[in-house]
Amino acid sequence: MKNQVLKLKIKKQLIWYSFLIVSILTLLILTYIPMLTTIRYSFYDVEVVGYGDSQFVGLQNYQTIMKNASFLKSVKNTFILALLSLVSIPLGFILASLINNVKWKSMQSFFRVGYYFPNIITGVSVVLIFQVVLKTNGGLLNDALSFLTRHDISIGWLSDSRYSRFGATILNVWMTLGYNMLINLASLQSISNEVYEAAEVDGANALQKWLYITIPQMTSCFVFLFITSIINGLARFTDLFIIGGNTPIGSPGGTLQTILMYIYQFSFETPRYGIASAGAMILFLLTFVITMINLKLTGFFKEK
Amino acid sequence: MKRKTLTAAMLTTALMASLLGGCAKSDSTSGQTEATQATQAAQTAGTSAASTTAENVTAQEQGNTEWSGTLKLYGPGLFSSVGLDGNVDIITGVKKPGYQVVIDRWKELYPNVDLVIEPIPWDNWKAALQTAAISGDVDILMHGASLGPVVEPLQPYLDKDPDYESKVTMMTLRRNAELAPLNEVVPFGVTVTLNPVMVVINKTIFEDYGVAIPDYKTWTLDDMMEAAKATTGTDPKTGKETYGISPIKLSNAYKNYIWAARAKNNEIFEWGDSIKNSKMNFISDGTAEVLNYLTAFKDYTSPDYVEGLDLAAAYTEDNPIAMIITEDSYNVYNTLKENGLDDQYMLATLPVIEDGPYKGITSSHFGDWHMSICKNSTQKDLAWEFLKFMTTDQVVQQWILDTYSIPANIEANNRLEEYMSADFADAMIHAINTCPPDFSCSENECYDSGNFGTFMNDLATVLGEMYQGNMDAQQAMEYVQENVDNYLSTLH
Repeated sequence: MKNQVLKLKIKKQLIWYSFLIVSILTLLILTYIPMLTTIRYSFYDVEVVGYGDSQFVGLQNYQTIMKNASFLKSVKNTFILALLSLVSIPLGFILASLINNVKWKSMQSFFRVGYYFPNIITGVSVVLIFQVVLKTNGGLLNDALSFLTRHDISIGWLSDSRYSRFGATILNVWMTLGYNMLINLASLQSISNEVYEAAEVDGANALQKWLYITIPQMTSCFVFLFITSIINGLARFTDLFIIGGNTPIGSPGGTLQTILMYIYQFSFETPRYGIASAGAMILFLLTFVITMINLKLTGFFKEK
Repeated sequence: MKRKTLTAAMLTTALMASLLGGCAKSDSTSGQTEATQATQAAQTAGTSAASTTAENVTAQEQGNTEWSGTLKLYGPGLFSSVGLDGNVDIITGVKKPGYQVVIDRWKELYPNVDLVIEPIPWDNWKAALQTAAISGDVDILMHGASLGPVVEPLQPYLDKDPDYESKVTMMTLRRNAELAPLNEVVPFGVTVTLNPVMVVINKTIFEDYGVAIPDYKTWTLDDMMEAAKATTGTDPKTGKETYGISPIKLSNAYKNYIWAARAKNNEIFEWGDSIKNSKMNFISDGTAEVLNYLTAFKDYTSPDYVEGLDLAAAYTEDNPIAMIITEDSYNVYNTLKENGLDDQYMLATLPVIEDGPYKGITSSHFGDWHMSICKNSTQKDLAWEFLKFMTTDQVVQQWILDTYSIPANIEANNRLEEYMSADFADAMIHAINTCPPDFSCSENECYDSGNFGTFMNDLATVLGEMYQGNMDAQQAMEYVQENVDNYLSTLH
C-alpha cells in the first residue's frame, strides 16, 4: 500500500519534473555548454573555431590580454561610458518629479508617452539622427551652443576623440531617459500621500519634503536603475559600433571601443578565438563582481 | 487533469522544437534558399542574358551528367544585392536581373547537380561566414578568402586547369607560410567581379577654375594634391564654395592608405619563415610621408567629410566636390546617367606608382567579390567546377554585365565600352589592363590586412586622429607599431 502511494507520488512528480527538464535542457544546450566551451577556448590558442590546430596555452591568453594596451583602453572606455551614462538616472528622476506634479492626468500621460518614445526607436535610427544633430559643421547642438554663447562653436561630438565620449553619452541619455523617467515615476507614485500630509502638518516646505521624504523613499528605485545601467553599460555595443562606421574600432581614436567591441574584433575581424574567449571571461568576471558588490551594498543578502 | 497534462506536454514539445529550430541546418531555415532550389522557368526580366541562354540551348544536350549532388553556397555579394528574381535600384532606377539566370544556366550544364544558394547581406558577414563554415554544411563561401584557415588553397586546382588564369584579370590572393614564401601570395579564391578604386572628376568645377583635367595615365600624387588645392575655394563662375577632394570615408581611411602607400612604394615588411618571425617596420620616413600626404587633404575637403556626410549632394547639380575617390564606380556612373550629368563627369585612375616593381602603373586597386571552396566541403572538385563556371561561362558573364557589375573575366570586362561612354569605360579598362595578376590589395609589400592583427583598424584610427589634429605622424606610427609588435608577440 505504502509502495503504491509512493509510486503514485513519484509518477505525479515526474510529470511536472518532465516539464522542468525542457527548460533545463534548453538552458544547458544553448547557454551553459557554449559558456563552458568559451571557458575552455580561453585556455587554448585557437584562431577560427573548428579549423587548424588548437594548442593548450594555459593562462597565456589572459596574460596577453591583460598586457594589451588596446584591451586595457577598452576596459577604461567601458567604465567611463557606463559611469557617464548614469547621468540618465538623476535626469530621469527630475523629469519624473516634474511630470508627477502636473495636475492634469491627460497631460501627465502625454509627457509620459512623449519622453518614453525614444526608447522604442531602434539604435541604428537614433545614431543616424544624432550624427546630424551632433555634427561639427552646422550640427543642431553646436548651433544652439553658438547661439547661447555668442561664439562660433564647432565641436566634433562624435568625430573628435576629445569629445566623443560626451557625444556618445548625450546619445545614450536621450535613448534611456524615458525608461529611467518611467521607473522613477512609478516609484514616486507609490509613495504614500499620508507621509507628505504628516510632514505638511509638521511645517515642512516643498523642498524639505522632496529632500527628506521623496529621495529616501526612492533609494530602492535608484539602486535598481544603478545596477541595470551599469550592467547595460558594460554590454554596450550597437550604437558605438555604428558610430564607428560599422566597425569595432571604437572611432574616433579608439575612445568608443568597449570590451564587447574588443571581443568582437578578435572573434570575427581578426580571428583569434582564444584571445576573444579570454576577453569574454574577463567581461563576465567584471560583470559578476560588480553585480555582487551592488547586491551586497544594497542589502540583498541580508536576511529579513 | 489528463487533458491539461496532454496540452501542457504538447505546448512544451512545440516550445522545445521551436527553440532547437535555430540549431537546424541552414538549408531548412531559409525560405529564400528553398526558393533557389526550385527550378522555375527562366525569368523574363528583359535582359540579354535570357536570350543568350536561348542561344545556348544546345548546351543542355551536352549537359555534364558525370557530376551529381547538391552544391551549397553561402555569403554576401552580388547574389544578395540582386536577389533571386532581380530588382530595381531605388537610387539609379536601373533594373538588374536576378541570380535565377545563373541557376538555370547551371542546371543546363549540370542537370544532376542542384544549387542551394544562401545569400546574406554585408552586415557582420565575417561572423556569419565563420558560423556557416563551422556548421560544415557549406561547399562554397562567397567572399570567404578573408577567413584564411577556413578556405581551401586553389593552386592544386589551377595546376589541373593551366589555362584558367589567362581568362581572368586576377585571382583572390593571400599569404600562407605553409604553401609559399611569405613575400609571395597564393590563390585562395576566384574573383568574380571587380570594383576598381577610381577618382570621379567633376569636369565643370575643373573648367570653372581653369584647371586642366588630369591625364590619369601619368598623373602623380603631387598632381592630385595640386588639383585638389586648385579647385578648393569659391567657384569663380557660380560663386559657391567648392572642395577639391573627398577621399574614401574616414572610418575606412585604411583604404586610402592602401593606394597612397602603394603609390609611394612604402615597403614595410621583413619576411621570415612564418608571420611570427616576420617584422613590420612601420616607423619610417616613408610611412610618415604617406600619412602626412593623406592628412594634407584636410585643407581641401568639406568640413562634413570627417563625419562621412560630405557626399550628400554628390552626383547632383549641386555637387561641390571636384574629385571623389570611390570604390563603387559603376554605380556612380549609373547615378550620374540617371541624373543626366554623365557629360559633366569622367573617371580617372588613381595616381601612378612612383617607384618599385610596379613603377609607372596606376595605384588604383580593386575591391572584389570572390568565391572560395570551404575546407570542410566534401565535394571540392564539384565546387571548383562551379567557381570556373562563375568566371568563364559566357551566359554568366553576360548576367554579370547586365547587373551593372564588372566581370573579372577578361573577355567580358573589355566589353565595358558597350555599356558606358568612353569617359568612364576607358579609365576602368585602363585600371583593369594594367592590374598586375600577382598583386593583392589586401596583402602586399606595403599593406597587409590579414596577418598583423588589428593593423587595418589601427590605420583607420590613427588617420582619423591625425585628420582631427590629435596626433602627429610620429605618434601615429608608434601607436600602430606597438599594436603590431604586441600582436606578433602573441603568436605561437
